[in-house]
Amino acid sequence: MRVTFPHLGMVWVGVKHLLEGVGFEVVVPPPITKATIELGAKYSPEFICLPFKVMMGNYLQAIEAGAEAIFMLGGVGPCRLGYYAEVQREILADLGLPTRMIVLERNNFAREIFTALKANGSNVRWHKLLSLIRLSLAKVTYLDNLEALLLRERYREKQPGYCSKLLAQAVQAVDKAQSWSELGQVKTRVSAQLKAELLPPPAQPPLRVGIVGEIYMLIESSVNFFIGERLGELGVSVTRNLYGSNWVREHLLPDWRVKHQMRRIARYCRPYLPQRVGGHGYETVGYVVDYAKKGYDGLVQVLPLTCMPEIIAESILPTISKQYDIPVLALTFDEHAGETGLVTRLEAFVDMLRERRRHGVGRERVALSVGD
Amino acid sequence: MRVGIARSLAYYDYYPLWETFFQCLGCQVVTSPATTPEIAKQGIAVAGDDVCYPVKVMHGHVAELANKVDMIFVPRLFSTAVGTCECPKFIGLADLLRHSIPNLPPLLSPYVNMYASKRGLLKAVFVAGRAITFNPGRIYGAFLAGRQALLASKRRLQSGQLPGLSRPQRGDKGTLAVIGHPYNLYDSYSNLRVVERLLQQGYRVLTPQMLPRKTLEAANAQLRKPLFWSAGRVVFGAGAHFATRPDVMGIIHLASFGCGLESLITDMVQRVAVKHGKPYLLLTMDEHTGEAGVETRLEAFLDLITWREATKCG
Repeated sequence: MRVTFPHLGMVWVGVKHLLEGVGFEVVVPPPITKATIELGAKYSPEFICLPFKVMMGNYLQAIEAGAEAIFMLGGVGPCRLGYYAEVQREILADLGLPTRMIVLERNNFAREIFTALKANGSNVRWHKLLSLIRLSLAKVTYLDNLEALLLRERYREKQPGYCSKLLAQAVQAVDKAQSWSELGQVKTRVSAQLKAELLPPPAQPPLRVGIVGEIYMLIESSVNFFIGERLGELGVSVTRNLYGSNWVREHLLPDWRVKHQMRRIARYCRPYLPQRVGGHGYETVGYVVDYAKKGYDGLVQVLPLTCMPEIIAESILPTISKQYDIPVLALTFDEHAGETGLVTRLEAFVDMLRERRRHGVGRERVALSVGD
Repeated sequence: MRVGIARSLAYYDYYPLWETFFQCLGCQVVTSPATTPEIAKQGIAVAGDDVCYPVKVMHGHVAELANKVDMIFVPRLFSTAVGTCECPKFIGLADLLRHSIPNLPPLLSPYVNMYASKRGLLKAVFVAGRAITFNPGRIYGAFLAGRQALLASKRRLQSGQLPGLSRPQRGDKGTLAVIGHPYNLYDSYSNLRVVERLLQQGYRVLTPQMLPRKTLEAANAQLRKPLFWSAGRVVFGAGAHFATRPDVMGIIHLASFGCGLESLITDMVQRVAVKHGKPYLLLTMDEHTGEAGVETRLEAFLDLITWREATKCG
């Protein structure tokens, strides 16, 4: 059976490894471009949020490339993502496509997977499956860590665009790696290359900006017009709060480090938003306080138009921004978002941060908490 | 003590309960007036840009109440039925208001979570009551009285009587179903008097709240995966039910621009309506929607229905 799944940043590397390991033939959807988004938007409900439309585009392009079944996550919660798959299934059926949707819900996770495996005729041993999962997760975790490092250090690359090129090469190499030792070789090679191509840290610490917001828009940088990379090219050291592997660690595996982190975030949230509101609205508020306390110069919130949880966070952020004296830029995306307008706004934002720093605005907070 | 209740959002679902509850506890209940252009304008001015229109109107109502009362009741509704949840904006409403409107009196906002069991409601009732009295018996008594009032008002609605309408509906031209969230259906400023217009023209209007719970549940059972929003279940269930009813000539869906639930549910109801060949009109509204545009579309839709009925008979 030829299977596919929607894109989410670089998570496809891990999912592909896992699915190929258990014997599926995997069709990775083509990288997301303007054409993907337009194709998806054409067949989606008008006012649904952007991730739905992009996923729809992924499915249609993957089906064109020969996919017969789609893996998708379900879920229950106030966020619409939990109901995406049901409506997407109907839309695909309306289009007359015979594609099967395999929706993994919390209560039928194992059953769906085993049915799919059986239909495919694969026979996987438990220990083989476990080691597959471990290596897949290691691949995604490594790429996430690399991306975080590049976001943080991009401001001191020797030639512009090198870091992005390196990441793309690393993704290809990690995708090819079939064993732990191959993955280790990739790691060593990439870090050596990176070291040679970075300037020494400047005496003056760089501007630091945190990116928070809706998880899909954050992780899938081709949908947010690569704002992390762009900020880096403007000379900013960037930190992002959510990564694909984090999500897996938080929701699918009991990881005490993530749990510990979440307890801190919950403490920060309490005065502003004492309960979860679905999606990642709660995390957004918590991390904004976290970054403000850590002395960041500015924050960017990324959300799709009509995103319910993030809108609540967006309305609360001005209060936090005022209390901590930290500028927050909220960027809303839909399928009509234009690149030029975004670049102008980011440039203006960074200029403003630079001026603030030059005049020492908010310096007490930044200086007090550096190295926290 | 004067307790303020905004005539917006969950008001249309639970008002009898809230009013009776606070009156039994000896409070004076102050309800904001029906939405006026000033209230809406004020709400739009203070609310964030991206929130949906009904929430903006809610901001206006709360701002209107701000210096008239000692306390404003805005519950955080996470879940109002077992196994379901509410729209994120209902959950975070109290926090939205708190951060957008300056100089608010304290908000009484108990956290209502009935996801796991109905006992979550009682917990919220006692949290709300404790702000006024420490006597648990009195709180429970007030809750029971409130529940009676709520059930009575539900029965009135289920007998086909629209709120705020004393006479029974004429209905000589036929029956139309108007579906959507209660705060769109029963707030005639927000829905640009669509329901009023239909009644004036002599149509009988059916709303989701007139359907018994069993009917809604049966209509929802056709879904592979049940919707997890209780408000969504009502709107979809009503749409799916009305689509199959021969006496309903058409369905009018009133949705707000930027409503997260409606973005999915309109699509789902439309699919069911098309399957059963039922005329379906979707009116999406926000502060920029003009009355003339809505009127034109409504007239065209009514013409279509009249024409359909005429050709069917002949």
